[in-house]
Amino acid sequence: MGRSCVPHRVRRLVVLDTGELDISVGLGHLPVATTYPYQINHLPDYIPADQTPISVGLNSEPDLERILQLQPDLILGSRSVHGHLYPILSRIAPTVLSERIGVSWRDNLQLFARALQQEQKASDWLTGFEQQCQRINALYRQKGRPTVSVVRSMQDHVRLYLQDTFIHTLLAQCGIRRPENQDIKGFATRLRSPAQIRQLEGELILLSEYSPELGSMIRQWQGTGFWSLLKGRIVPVDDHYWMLGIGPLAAEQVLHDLEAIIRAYTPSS
Amino acid sequence: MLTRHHPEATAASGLFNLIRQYAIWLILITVLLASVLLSLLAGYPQLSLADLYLSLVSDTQSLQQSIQGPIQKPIQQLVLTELRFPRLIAGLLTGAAMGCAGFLLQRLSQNPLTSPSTLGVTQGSALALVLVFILGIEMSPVMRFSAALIGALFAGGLLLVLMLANRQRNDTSTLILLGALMASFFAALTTSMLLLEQHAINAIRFWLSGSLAFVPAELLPVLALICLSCFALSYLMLPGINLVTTGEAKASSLGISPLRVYLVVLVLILLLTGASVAVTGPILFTGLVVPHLARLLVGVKASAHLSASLLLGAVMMTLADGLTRWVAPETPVSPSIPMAIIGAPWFMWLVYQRYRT
Repeated sequence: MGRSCVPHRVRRLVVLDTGELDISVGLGHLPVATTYPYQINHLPDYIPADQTPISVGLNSEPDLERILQLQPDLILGSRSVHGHLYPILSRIAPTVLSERIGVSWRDNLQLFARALQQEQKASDWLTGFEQQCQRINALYRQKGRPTVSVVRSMQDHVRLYLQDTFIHTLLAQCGIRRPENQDIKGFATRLRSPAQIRQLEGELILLSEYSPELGSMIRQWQGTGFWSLLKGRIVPVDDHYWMLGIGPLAAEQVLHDLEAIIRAYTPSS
Repeated sequence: MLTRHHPEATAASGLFNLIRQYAIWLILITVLLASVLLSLLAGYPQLSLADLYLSLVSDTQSLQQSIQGPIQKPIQQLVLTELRFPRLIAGLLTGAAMGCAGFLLQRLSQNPLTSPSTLGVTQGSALALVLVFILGIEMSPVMRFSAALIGALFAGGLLLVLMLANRQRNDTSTLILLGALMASFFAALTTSMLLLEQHAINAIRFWLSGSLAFVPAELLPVLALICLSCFALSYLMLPGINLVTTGEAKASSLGISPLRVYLVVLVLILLLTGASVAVTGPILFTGLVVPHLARLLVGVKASAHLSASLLLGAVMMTLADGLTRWVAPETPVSPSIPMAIIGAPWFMWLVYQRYRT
């Protein structure tokens, strides 16, 4: 959006979402301030923040006055979430917004790397992922290519992740097969009744829970007779980097998990 | 000629009235059965009558088979036993409870504008539940009912104190106005608390608009116990209510303490409201509309009026819930929406009727 003249050496970086946070930390820049995802109201656990960045509110409604006070020299965000704030943000500091979030994380990594002048680090990350994915794919073929279903349990519904997601881009890069009902365009299918439980089916069902303390719909389903209809193998995964983190640090851990999950998988005869 | 025909004419009109009365009850019960069917079959997945029949038949068969080991139930059967039946029972009970609470309030106050939701009792009960949720206290069934009952009690008690402190304590217009104020006050408090706690709004937004979607089966026995005993007590209180409303002095002279009647009926209203809110969340207007419709259908005789209120409450709730699921099987739509579409204009019309002079 517009043209931004970014400083040669960024000293006071402000990021507006978890994806931007992951990418900038992954590129060696700890921001002075970040927003927190409203769901958990703190930083995702996996971010190795030596000095915790200051909070500037929630990702959807950053505290502009606070950001102004911090006098940043670069702001990173996304057009889909913060586009309407661009006129104000760009008057506070040079602002670089990615077009989209999630599915476009590789492009975002390269875009923000240009802004932070860390292009080499970005391409190192991407080469590393390509190698890791090839390794996972070889392993996956040995195991007979089981279909992998990605499920996230929210407070009032259960989400089935589709193609336009961070997770799907990683699975696709590793050549992992998705169940037919998830191998379609779109972000996620939302399920609200245990009568729909068969839609979760896959030979491997990766299940993350957004906030078990505040209520997780899948736990209600587990208490019903519908639960026994599910045939696939359920593997719990960490919500923080599988779902909240959308960047190289999260991707690294997701692929690490994925490799272990596939290694442990034994096809049922 | 006329004198000779007169007795026959009254007999005929008496017979006509009797038939009319029976017809009305027959229609009410038929509509109830129809809404029960709708509520069982509509939704995701839509079931057919054959599914229902098979499920009822195989239930008895599976009892015999279960001795030989667990059998896999088909999904239609699971939908019926695990989702639809609990939902139906909850709908019937809470609907009847709101009808009953509305009936008691309108009879006692002799004012057609009173109901648990127009007096803020429903909203007070919901506020207490939201408070418990936000404080992070575990929502066991006991906690759920206690919180809702305490909320209802608090709202009812506050209204009573305010009325007693008022010089025009027998003026029902003041009661209505105070009630409406309290209702908006409690609703505003609930909204502000939820805005401060974003997690909570996600978790209970459906419940807060009133919903039968997530009725945990373990709530049903308590709900049934509270509702059925309150219904029975309501019938027992009818003579007392009649006497008190025709004249407190007369009641006292017959050895009935008006204060006791008021207190018992008030407690019944609070129990019924609290128990419904605990299960379905605040569903407004049922308690207002139902006693009216019931009176229009069966007249003012107390026992018939109460029975019709119970029946009609159950009908309206299951019908509203069934219809919303029939129209939108996969999206959760609260039965409050059809209730409000009927209830809000109804309320305005009543206010207009009462205050137009």
